[in-house]
Amino acid sequence: MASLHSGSSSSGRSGLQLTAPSLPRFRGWHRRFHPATGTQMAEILEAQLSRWQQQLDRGQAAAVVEQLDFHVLPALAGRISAEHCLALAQEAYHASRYDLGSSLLQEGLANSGAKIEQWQEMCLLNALCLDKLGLIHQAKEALQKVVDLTSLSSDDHQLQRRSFAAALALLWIDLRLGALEPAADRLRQLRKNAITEHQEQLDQIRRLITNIRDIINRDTESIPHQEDLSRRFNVALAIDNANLSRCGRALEIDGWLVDPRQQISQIYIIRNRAIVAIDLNEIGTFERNDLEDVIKRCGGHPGYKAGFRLSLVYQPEECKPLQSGESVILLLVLRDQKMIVARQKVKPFTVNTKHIKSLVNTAIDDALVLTSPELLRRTRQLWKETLQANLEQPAQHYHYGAAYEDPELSVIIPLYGRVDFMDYQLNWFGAWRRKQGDAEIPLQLIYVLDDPRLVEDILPLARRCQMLYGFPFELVINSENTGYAAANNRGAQYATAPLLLLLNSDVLPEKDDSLLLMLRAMQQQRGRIGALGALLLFDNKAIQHRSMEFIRNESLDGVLAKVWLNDHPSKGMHFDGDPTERLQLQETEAASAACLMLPKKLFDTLGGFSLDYIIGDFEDSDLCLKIRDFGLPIAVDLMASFFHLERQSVSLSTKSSSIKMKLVAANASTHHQRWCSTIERLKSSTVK
Amino acid sequence: MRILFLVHGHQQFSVGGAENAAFSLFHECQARPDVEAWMLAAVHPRRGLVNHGELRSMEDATHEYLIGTSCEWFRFTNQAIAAIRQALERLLSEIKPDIIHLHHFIHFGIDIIPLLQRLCPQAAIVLTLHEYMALCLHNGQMVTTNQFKLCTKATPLACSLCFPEHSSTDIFLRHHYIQTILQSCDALISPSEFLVRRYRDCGISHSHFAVIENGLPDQLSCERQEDIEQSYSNKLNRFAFFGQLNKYKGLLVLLKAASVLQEHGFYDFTISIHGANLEIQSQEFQDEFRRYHQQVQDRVILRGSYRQSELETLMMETDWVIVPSIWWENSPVVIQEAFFYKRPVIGSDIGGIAEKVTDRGGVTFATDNQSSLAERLQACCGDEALHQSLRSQMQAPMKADRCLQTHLDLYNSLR
Repeated sequence: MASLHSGSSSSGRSGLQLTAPSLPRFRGWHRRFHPATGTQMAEILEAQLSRWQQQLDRGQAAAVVEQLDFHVLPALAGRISAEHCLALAQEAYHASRYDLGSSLLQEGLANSGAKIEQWQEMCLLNALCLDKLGLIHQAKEALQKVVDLTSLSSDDHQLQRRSFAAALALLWIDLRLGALEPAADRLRQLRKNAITEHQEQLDQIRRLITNIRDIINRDTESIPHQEDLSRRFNVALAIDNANLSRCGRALEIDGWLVDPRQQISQIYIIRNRAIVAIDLNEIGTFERNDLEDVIKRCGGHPGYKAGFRLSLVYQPEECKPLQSGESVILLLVLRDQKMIVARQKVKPFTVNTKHIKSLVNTAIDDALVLTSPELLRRTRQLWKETLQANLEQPAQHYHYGAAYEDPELSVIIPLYGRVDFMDYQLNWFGAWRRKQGDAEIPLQLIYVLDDPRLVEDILPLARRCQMLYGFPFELVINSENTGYAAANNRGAQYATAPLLLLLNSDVLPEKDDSLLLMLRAMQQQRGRIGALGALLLFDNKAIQHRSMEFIRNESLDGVLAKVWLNDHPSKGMHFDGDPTERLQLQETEAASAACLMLPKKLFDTLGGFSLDYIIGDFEDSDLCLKIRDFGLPIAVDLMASFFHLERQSVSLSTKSSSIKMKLVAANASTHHQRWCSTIERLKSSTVK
Repeated sequence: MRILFLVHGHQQFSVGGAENAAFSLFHECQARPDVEAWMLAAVHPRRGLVNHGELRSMEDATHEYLIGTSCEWFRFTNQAIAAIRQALERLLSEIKPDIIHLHHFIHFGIDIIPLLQRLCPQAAIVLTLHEYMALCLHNGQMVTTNQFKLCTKATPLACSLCFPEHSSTDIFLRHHYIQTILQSCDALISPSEFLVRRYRDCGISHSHFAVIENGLPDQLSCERQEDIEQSYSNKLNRFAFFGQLNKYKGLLVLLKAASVLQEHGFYDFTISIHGANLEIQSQEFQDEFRRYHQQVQDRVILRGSYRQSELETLMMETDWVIVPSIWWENSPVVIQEAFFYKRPVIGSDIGGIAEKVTDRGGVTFATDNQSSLAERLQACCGDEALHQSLRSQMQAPMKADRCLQTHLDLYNSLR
């Protein structure tokens, strides 16, 4: 025991050593699943592939598409015929999963067994997928190839159809890029050679081009913000606001549109000669109390949803930055080919979570049906790019107290919404260190403030914590709210220890040795465990998390009924683990990242948390699946217990129409599309 | 050994059990050549004596200091910890204590403890707990807010039912915060076994949780011991209550019990109520008190407030002391005083009262139950044998020097 006046090197008194003696010497782990890279898994994959083969033989391509994720495509493509590949790609295209379709077709086109017919069809479908994915240059090249291989005037109906489809797609690319004259040339060519049944469609495009020329030649300033044609056509339109993101990717138009007789057949957006056709599903509508008169004049009922928000996400290759004084024009085509236009000046804005939420709100309806998968895909892409841009910006980084040299563990703790949790955690860390006395363990604590609203609160709090608890920590301040995944990735940039602990700010150890147990267990395993979770308890010690498992729940609404969801088995139950079960680390399907330890190198190798999940949710199970796919197991340590004061979590009873639930649906669907076949294989890989 | 005592109020302007206990230890230290002690007493800045974080040496006293400080009452966070820090640094660098012994954390705030640990890492921190404020938001009474039911365990759910304005999460955080700090102390001291059990049941245990009874108040003298023993009445029918006139002290039960006895036709007894501060209680309580008192005013006499120096005389007019509290208590000083004057105690059968009374010189009755108390009172009247046997159970009181020695033994075990 240290004498009180001797100049002990320790910062604390060693009078109360509670931790070290009680630690078990070596802890094995209990395997529940075959390793993802082992021979058993190869057999399981084989069984899965032959099941799909049988479904394809029975013509159930749509059912197979629902089970496909990207990880399984290389194995699948080597197995199936060109005919089946094409069938799958067609179903993927219909399901708006253009990325899946394109990947399938890349594999299919390399298949030497394809007949010329099938090969051509695959070329066309691939080109259309690329076009939908916004890969314009690749798409143009691929479409041109189809045009070259086929002929509009061929007697072969299929050849003719492909040729027309490819040429039409090329024409639309020109229109989208604002190349009006080349588009007009293509149109002339098409009209010359096309068969009669295509002429009607081409006439429409001709009228459209003529009108656009007319609009462009006019003084755009003369186009009104508002057009009331209630007397003649029972239609009225106005644009209140138009905003373009600074990156040029996102355009938002707010206004109102009264069309109770549903006379509008098409809507186009024109910016600087570039014209984009709008999917009517991508328009969110709501009631506007101030428009009673107009609605009445147009013959609409009270409660008619006249307000609209139109959200467009341009593809990277087609987006153009804002030009000064630029206007956007909305062009409506009625069933009788009459056209209505309205205009508004475009103002710049910065993409933020509010905007992303509004896009998700449009892409998913109130019954959680994915009405516009393509908008969701683009939104996800926009979100990810926004986060990446944020992460490239330097953050403010502060040190409080003298950091440990060579820490054994870097703890990363994002803060959002409420910063006072830091006070509670650092109080615990300080008391913990004091009890350890000379045996203190060098840790690096990294707090990441992911909430710019709270900068004013956190700086005094950080000073208080440094003064009172004396445990060294670092504070990283993001200039924008980036969400859980990006905040953790940000924190990991500053981590110097070989192991990371991802920790929520509302997690507090239940026992003094919980943290050390996990640390020692991971160190003993020397990289044989990919990630280690903990037993998380509610404030009354009921179980909050002892593992994460993938489940289905067909009684939920919309997309949630069709995808794998994350479940916390035993949630709410009393914990009563038997000692043997607790002594061994227990392999699980996945574990919550509220408290998850893993090697820093592994986290970096896998690219950290995926940024594809919009504002949180599912990124932890995604990370666990990546780790498992890499060949390492996920386990939990049931001896290491922590309180988790889980606050604003979404429960399945949350209203489907709420944005929270829509985000869950969006992320669940992303997660499913990425991992569904992998999860299936995991489920059948239980060690007997 | 160099000891710094911290107490939430100075004896000169604040009277209470914790202040008495701390100053008794402090004064006793003066007689020991091997010990040097200092006293730092908190003064709420509201008193206007010193501002928050300001240090003042007491007049004509080299080892007594005041410091202005206050805390909020949910988590006991000091209102200006940075200001306190400067003053403490100055004081601690002068004193260089081996032991820092806190007798309360209110006014100082509970975060004074990690601060002291930071500023003085080599000192052992000892804290004496005098009540349950660390556990219970209801002034530490562990009695529910709506129906004043006895509560046995503070949990986030139970506490949020009493205090719906606080979420169970916030109550949990409060508890975790306080628990972490109390457990980081080098030793905790309680004057009763009951308090140790109650803290342990609520999740705050400690490997050095000592039970040391408070030393006798300084004022008690043993000179007239013999006279006092001669002063019992023949009928042994004089009861007395000493203490604050508030709801928790069980005065309504006492008045109702007197009323029950009258109803049963038993009139041959008196109850003296010594105490004050009825006028600062809630109007509802005052009204109730007066209503019940009116029914028994011939038997129950309100004697008003008293000074410590009068206690001896008042005890001589008493045969039995009643402690009818409807909350748990810890180690009520009135029980020690009664035993000092060889007066048997009739107390509620809960918590610190039951612990200090049972088999040690008193009897109990069912808490908050007037019939049970009435029965006890009637049975005690004139029972010479009982009175004598209870007197013989009473142990020699814990004198201040022995109390200090017990503390010094504990301090030494921490070094």
